[in-house]
Amino acid sequence: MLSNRRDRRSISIAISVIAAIGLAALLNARQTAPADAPVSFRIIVVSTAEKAQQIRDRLLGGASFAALARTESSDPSADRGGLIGPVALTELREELREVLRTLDAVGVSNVIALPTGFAIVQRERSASGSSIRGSEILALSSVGSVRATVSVDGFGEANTALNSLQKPDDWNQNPRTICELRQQSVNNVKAALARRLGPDIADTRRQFSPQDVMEAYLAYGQLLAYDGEMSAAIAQFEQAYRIAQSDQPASIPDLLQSLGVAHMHKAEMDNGLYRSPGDRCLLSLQGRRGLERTEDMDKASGYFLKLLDASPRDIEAKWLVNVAHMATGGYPEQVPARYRIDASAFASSETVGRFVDIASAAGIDSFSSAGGVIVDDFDNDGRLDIFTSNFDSCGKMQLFHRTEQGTFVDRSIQAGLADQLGGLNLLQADYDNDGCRDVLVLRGGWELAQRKSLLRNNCDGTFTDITVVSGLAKPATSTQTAAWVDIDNDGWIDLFVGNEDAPAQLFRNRGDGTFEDIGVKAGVARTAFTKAVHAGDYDNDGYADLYVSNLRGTNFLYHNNRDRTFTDVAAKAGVPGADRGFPAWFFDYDNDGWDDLFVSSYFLSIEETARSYMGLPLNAQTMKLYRNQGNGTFRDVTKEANLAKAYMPMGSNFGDIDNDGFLDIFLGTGSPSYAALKPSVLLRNREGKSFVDVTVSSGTGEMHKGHGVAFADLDNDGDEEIIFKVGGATPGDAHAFRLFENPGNGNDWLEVNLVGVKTNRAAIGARITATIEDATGAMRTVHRTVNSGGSFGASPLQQHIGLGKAAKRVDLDIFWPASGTKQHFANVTKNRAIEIHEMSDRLVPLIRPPAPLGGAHAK
Amino acid sequence: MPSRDGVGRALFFRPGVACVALSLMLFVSSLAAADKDYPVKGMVLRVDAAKASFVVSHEKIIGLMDSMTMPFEVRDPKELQGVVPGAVVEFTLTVGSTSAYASKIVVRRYQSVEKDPKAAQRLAVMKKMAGLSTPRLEVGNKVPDFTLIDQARQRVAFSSLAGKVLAVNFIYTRCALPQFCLRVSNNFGVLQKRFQKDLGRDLVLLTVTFDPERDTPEVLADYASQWKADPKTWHFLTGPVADVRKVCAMFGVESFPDEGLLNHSLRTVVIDRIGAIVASIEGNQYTSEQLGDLVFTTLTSR
Repeated sequence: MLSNRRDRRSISIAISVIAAIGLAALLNARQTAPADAPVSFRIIVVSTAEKAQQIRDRLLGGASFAALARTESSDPSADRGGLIGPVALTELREELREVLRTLDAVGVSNVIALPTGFAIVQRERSASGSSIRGSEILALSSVGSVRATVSVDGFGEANTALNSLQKPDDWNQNPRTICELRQQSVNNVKAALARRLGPDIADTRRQFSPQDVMEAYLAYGQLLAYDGEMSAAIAQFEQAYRIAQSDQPASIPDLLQSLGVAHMHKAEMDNGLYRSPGDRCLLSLQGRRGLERTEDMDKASGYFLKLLDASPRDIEAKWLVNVAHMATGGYPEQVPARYRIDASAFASSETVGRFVDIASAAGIDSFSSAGGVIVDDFDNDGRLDIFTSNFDSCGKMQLFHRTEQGTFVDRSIQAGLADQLGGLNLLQADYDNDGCRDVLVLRGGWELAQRKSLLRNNCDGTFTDITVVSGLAKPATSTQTAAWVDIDNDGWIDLFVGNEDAPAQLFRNRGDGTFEDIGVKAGVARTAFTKAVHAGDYDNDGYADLYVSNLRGTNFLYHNNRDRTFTDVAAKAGVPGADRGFPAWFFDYDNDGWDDLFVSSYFLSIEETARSYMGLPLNAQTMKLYRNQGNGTFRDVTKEANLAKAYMPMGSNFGDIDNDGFLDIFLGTGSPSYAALKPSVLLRNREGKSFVDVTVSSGTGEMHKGHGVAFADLDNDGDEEIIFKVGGATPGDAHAFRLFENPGNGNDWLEVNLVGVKTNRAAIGARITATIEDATGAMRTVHRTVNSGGSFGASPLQQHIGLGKAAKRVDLDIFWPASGTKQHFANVTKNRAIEIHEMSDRLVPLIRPPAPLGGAHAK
Repeated sequence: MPSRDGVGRALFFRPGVACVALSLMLFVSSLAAADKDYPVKGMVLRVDAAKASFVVSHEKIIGLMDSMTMPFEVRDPKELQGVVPGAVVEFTLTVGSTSAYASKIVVRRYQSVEKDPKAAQRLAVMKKMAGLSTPRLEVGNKVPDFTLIDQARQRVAFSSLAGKVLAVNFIYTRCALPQFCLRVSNNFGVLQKRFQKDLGRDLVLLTVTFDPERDTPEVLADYASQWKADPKTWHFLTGPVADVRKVCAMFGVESFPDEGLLNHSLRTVVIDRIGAIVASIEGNQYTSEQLGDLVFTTLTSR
């Protein structure tokens, strides 16, 4: 029985595959099928191995497989005589995959242990049957075997505490109230547990079973970890470990893991890795050698090694032991060879030069939890500012103003942002067409519904919260994603909001400072756990379409019917996404003039990321790249683009780091768990064909949790920096902000700022085509749509366009969607910033003197 | 009376059969010279404290008998403390030449090593210790009336099902891990087959979602179609969020949001004809046969 096993939580390990071995001898003609060739098979699932063996004997005696499936199988396929398929072998659980690969059409498998019981399978002669829905095949699919382990972060405990608290009506309309209730709820539960496990422990032991007392220690430890009190958390985990050793041996692996992770987090906190990370938080093949005191990290390694000695196939523990050694400088030599992940797993085959974090030198003093980031010019002084939020309910927003002297100063108080607490994501637009960028704050993602904030830019360095009068305050939702998009080309930017387990909202901008939610009428008010929405005109009909990426289930592609309604065409267009969608966006990665789609997958499994690096088969679905075929449909080019990986991306964006005209991708990665230490990923776009991992060579592999990402040329030297909000979901997982300065490249560029007249003033949705003739006479085009980039993190609305090497002649074509007008500018001078107004034939050069940030590459 | 189809492995309830089984067992053991101990594991179906006996749907007893349903006696009625229907127990069966008895009964509390149920358990304990949870119904308690909406959009009142035996489980359709919701749904799929003739007349199956925001009647109808569930006899229930939460809390089912999914407890409840809880089983560590035997026992009890 399951309860007796002492092995790890993984079903795949705990349940042995009884089959496969010895099967070959049974088969005369052994046929091997290609890994992704579709197969059909029949299956019988029963509740005990004993019963399965009896059924197998009857099958070998000549009984009909289909008939026995109908009467005996507990699988939903029973009524179809157990028929499953056609399905690709790669989509099946490893246990089944291995058996079916070697089974011929007459053989009956041995008994296979599955999460739903004990199974026997038989191959069908042909790939017959009809397609089967995801849930029906869950017990058999690889996705159903993605492994998640205990997390250490207290996020669930803190959310439960807040959920369980009696709250006044409209508590979620005021950020300050949210902050107070959040703290109060956590403190209440901590106090109660401290009493129960402290002075009242004797009573507690009488009233509760050892199992419950152990869980209480764990819960208390989690809440302490939530606040970053790691020594105290470890003390609770140690108490729980003692109970596990005496009463709950099955929990020992979880506790080893929790203790290891807690010590690891403590080591990183105590050594200042999060406050002043420098290179010490970056993925490095030489090891980071950053810890002054290695005692806790060594303890962490000890726990992970203990786990591995009990379960040598535990890939997550293997990952963690390597990461722990990277921190102490012991990687790779000191990692026991049998657990070592070879450095080649991370090596970059290309380089774009080494980026250097200059946040601190540039005056960006920001240490916080997760959050959003906008880089844009909020005071129209020609210099880009940085706006960032703090997911911590009590965390402050920061507006870093770029001064004439070059560095940044925090102007959030002067800007009137003192009461704007919390916020997981931020987006800018000019909703009132007054020429100043306004800011939308999205709150409640991953937690209870909370009010958004719309901050009107008063064009004088201050902002006013106009959420209530604008009509955006209610209902409060849990959200971290929205898209500013003019859906009806009336020149007023509308707002599409994706929510978590609540209907999406489509706010039409009435043009008078107010919005109305037309989501239901428009046909987009569907309920899903939405993690990304994005706008793009994928069919080039001049009207913006919408893409919705959902954490569970298929994604939506809403085609704009040009009458303020939309139709979901995701299935027809072939863009269902991975089953766990997070960041997603339209972008023209191959510069063919048709917007393609990048869709991430977010399976909460450190093991799957490790498998991606180690080149092992994945159980999770990978991220997807869909190439627009120009006929209303897309083709899945994930594999040929070298993106068939699972990285757990959160904040992410795209930009052109090497000015070759092709958009590159930066993925911030992680999850709330303090164990989720995985490098962020920089993927260089190789001429619109494939993506190359340049993380290590560029020095951008931040191991901590990656949220809002922006690309922007902050120092006006013609290349894009990566501006990166780093920090986890809890107050105890805060981290310093990153500003990775681009080392530069020899390629040409243009910075183009568009100003709409009939089109919304910030020109969101306008299209830019640069046609470039290089020195050899070869012609190329680069296509850009004006927006702030991907779905989590906002780049400037002015567009940075890489022109490649030695551009001899550059022509620009602009398309303005609201007026439907086009402009052509021939022989544009390269390597400078320009401004173009709708309906004007003038191209205005912008004076943007180089403004060094005081960093390593300062010129 | 339940039909023959529902009888399954529980033949012993017919007069005399149990005696036959026991005599057979004693006969087997009498071939041996001395008392012999056998480890037994199974689910308790019925407890008769007065007679110091209990009925167990047990797994194969190696060296003695295949899995089946059997009554066992204890020498000391105190041994039966804490033993309730639905409990998974391990005990020692001592078989001598003239008698057999059970001793060293240990109730195996559900203890998952999987992340989701463990997190749910931890959070439930946390709430309880911090005084934030409501008490749940225990075995023997009468279930107060409630009304929810099924997959055919029909209102289903608990009181309208009086006089029938009910099996209740709890799921959510987005459940990403096959060993939990899918497994318990499969169990009911097996019950549906085994008790085909009793369903509707004597027995009704209820599957309650704990994710009412997402699991609308339409979503549930789609989910239910996997098992060809007849909406008249196997209701998949949802309703207003507050109502559903109340029903779940009443039965001790808690769910906690976690990164877009839910960490949740697993519970299967059997309710007798007068609306009292016969068994409330935590977890997924029992077989559909054992659950069926428990339902059968309840159907045949007066």
